[in-house]
Amino acid sequence: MLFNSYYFIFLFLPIALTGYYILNYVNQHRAANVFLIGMSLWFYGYFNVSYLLIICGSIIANFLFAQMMNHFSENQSLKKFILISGLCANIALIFYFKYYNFFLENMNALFDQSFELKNILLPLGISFFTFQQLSYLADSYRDKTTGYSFDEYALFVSFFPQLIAGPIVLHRETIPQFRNPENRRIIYQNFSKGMYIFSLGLFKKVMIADTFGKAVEYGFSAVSGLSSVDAFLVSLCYTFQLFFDFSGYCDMAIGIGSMFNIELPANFNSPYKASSITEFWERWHMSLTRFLRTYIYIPLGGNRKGKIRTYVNIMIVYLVSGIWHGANWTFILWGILHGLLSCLNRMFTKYWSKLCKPIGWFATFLTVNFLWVLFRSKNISAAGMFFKRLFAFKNFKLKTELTDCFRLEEFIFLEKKIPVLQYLSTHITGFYLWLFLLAAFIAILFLKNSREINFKPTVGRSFITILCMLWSVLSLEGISTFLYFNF
Amino acid sequence: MSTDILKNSEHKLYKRWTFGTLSVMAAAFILTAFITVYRDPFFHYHAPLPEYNYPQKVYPDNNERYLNDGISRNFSYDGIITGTSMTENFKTSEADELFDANFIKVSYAGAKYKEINDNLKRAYEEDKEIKYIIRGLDCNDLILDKNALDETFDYPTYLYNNNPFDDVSYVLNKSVLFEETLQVTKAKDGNGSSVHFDTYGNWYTFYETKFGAPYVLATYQLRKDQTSPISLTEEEKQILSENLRQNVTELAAAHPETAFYLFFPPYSICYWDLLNNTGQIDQHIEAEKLAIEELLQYPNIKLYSFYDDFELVCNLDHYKDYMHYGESINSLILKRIKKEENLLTQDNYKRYLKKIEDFYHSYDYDSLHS
Repeated sequence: MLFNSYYFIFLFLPIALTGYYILNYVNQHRAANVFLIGMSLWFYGYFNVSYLLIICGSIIANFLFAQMMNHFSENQSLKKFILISGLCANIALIFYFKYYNFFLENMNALFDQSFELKNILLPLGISFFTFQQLSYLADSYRDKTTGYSFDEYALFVSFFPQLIAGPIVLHRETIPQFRNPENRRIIYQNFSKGMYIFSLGLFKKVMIADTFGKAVEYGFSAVSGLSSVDAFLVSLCYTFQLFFDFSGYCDMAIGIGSMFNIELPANFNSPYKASSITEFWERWHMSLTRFLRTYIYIPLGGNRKGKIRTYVNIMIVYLVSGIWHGANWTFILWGILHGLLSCLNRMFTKYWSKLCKPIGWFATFLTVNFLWVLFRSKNISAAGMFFKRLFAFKNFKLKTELTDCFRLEEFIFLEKKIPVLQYLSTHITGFYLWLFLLAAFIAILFLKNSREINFKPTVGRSFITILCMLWSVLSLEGISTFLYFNF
Repeated sequence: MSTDILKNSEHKLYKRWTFGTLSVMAAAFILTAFITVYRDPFFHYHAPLPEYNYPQKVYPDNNERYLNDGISRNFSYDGIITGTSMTENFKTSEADELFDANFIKVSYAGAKYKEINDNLKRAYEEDKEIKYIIRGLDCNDLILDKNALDETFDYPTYLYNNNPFDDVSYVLNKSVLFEETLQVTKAKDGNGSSVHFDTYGNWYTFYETKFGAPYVLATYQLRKDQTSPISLTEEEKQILSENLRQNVTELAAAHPETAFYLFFPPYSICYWDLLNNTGQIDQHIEAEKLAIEELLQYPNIKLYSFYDDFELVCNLDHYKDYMHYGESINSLILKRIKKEENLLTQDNYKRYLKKIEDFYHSYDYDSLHS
């Protein structure tokens, strides 16, 4: 089920909250955990019931691996063997569902074979819950996970706000919060803040990301007809769509978490304010970056084994990040390019930091923007075609199909009531497109992000919450799906 | 102590904010939903209110799949015109006059048999006393799975079931609110208007200037290598029978009080050109024969075919593509139905089949392209 659905907002969430707090009110904390696990499985199984087998199997198997490691904590070599087996099992699972066909396609192309591809349905969020459990296994190996019951573990993995698109949480972040008896009753400070952040997240996803998404959908399906200006604007639209989509989703997750008194880690810290690629990755999808740093970069030696090893380690981390994002050469190339730019950034950090900040920002934003084209394209040659249109500098006309994506029903309705709006809309080509882009730039550069918000229970905040909810809920019918679900 | 008091008052402040915000939000949702429920632009809950003028939607923005269910269930009528785009140009005013009845038109462009029949069933579920049903049976959909549906439309299923909860997609829907509900205007004298069935779904004006041979011939391409003739297989006969039984005859048998006027829409000679090219003329005629034999078993079904009106079928000025004819043909069909011309009976259907078989087999199809 999607957060941005009537079903979730009007049925699922109220039931989940009510049931959880009632069970806790009568001091049935364990039953509340089990109830929340049940709700999370309903949430997950709503997409496809057969997915439940995979997630339940994965949770049980990983819990057993961890228990075995705890049990044999004296026997280092046996523990290591269990850890490696567990890691392999998880990687095998994700490989089968996500990369099996990609692997075969490449084998077929490389060796002129004809291995038959399988019709494999990718379970949603498999990358997220697998990574989460990999971190748990690694921590179990280091004896950092003792004393967790099965229901606590299952709740940590399946807790529905973060289940299908992150943030990638660590057991030490959430389980202690669930254990804290103070958190088992409604704390209105958290609840109200949760409502506020959820409604902002919903608005970001439904009103901003999905509107940009329509233009992106059009642009990437009609590349050959795009002018240079069209192509540049489409790339900008995608840059905004991806950010507002993913961060809007994470805000919703954080908001729901807050309603349950569970503080989920922030995933974004105004990433488009970054003035270098390294800084961008410190601000973008932070829970993934943290995972890669803690469980790959540092175990590989980080920056402690000399310059060359440091650069190799950086490249490995970005390559894994690229592969993690999807089974396509576009993602791999995207990861490699980000890795190379990060290495360059590190090499020339002295010079780069001396650059005036706006120039650094501009160069970073533009680079990230162009690399997202790779991320969105079906394959590398499609991305090449897109760049060809973009850098042809031939035609500077704006396509009406593109600008019309931003002329929403409510604007057309308002035009009839407000003549100035009608005047602007008819006299300025792509008026609403420019309006959206301007608003998006202001939002990414000047507005506080969800972790910076100092929530106060004012009438203004109440008004914003209601407006965002009403406007977004009214826009739900016929809205596209989340971009990050297949990663 | 004072910290506790402070905490407590802060707690109360947040609690008040939470409940205040939730209450106003709920009120806002209920109010917004209520406007759509009350005006009901898709007639999902009730017939049009006399004090309002409902927006007249013309092709291609007619939203028939959103409106038809409400029209069938909540309007007052005793006659239904239904079918695919072949029936969208019918004028109910003409049918009203000819049959001295009160017709509605609930066509579904691109629909297969099931979708059309399901809509008729919904009408009967509301205990409508239906005297006449005029329904186009597209021959190219005869050999189709009985549950086949057109997949190209984003279907508003929430309007087609009796589950009140999924109506949220209707009553809290921005497009419905701004493009429909808020376009409903107050009628001055309490004498409002709703659907004008003559123009509802009617696409003729939209394409009026694009009729005739050059347009028709541009809508299809022949295979270079003509296929050898094929016949109707046993499996296809089975599919056809099941399709007709589930989606046509069961309803006719259940409602002997209704006269079912069914007709095969007359596609142009170019449709036969395509059949000839793919070797499917015999298959088509055999399917028609089987359908005729099945349908004529029911006394309340009157079946019409116009494929033997060669003057009509071969005059491409009547067509905008190899299938679709203009509204004058719809008028003609209505008149002939009333006069029982082109009616197929147990006595004449074999003669009819022989006639079309001879004609379409011997037609000089190359002359179309010269």
